[in-house]
Amino acid sequence: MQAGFARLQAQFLAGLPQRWSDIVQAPSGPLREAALHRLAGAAGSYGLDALGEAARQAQHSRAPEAALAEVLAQIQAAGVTV
Amino acid sequence: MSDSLRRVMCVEDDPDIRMILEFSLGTVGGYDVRCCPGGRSAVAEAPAFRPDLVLLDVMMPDLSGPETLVALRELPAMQGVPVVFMTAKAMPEELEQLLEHGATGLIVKPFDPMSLPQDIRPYWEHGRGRQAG
Repeated sequence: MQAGFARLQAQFLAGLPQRWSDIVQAPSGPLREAALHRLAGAAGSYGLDALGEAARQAQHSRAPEAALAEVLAQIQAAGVTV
Repeated sequence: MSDSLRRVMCVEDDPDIRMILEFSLGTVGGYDVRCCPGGRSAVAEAPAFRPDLVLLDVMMPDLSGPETLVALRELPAMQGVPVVFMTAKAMPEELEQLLEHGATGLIVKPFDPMSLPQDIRPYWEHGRGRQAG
């Protein structure tokens, strides 16, 4: 069971560069918020609570650049290079 | 409504969340799981799959969760089947508004894939109780 979860987690991590690309390439507004919302909903279920929380904060942040920097920092902290 | 919780339909547009739902409810929980990428496919597949419970994402691009709930409720096979919203929204007033659409309950994302199979059971039991009453 743990091996199955680890395999899914690895797939999720492999997809993070694409998610990050979707976030930064989306114009600010609903499209970017939707991409952050999806990341916030998914990351925690894969054991990446800090990343999910950073995405949630960025979705609602009034200082988007700093909030996005924290999302990127959490992606990198998960061992993913973007 | 069947006497046991066996078939769970999940409606979720994010492929990573669909994958972890299949793992959680299928591999961990042992349920027969059908994951649909959107509301329209859920409405199309529900009559044949006959789920005992539906987990329904709120924010989806084709039909929203509340719109999908309305469409599911129009199907004779889905009368009385518990529908539980899954949402990453966390504000209490947002959660209350969602319940006003007639869902049986709410599960806030992210969810724990190891405990989700047990977490959904009270909603099914609640729905069964309403059927009996």
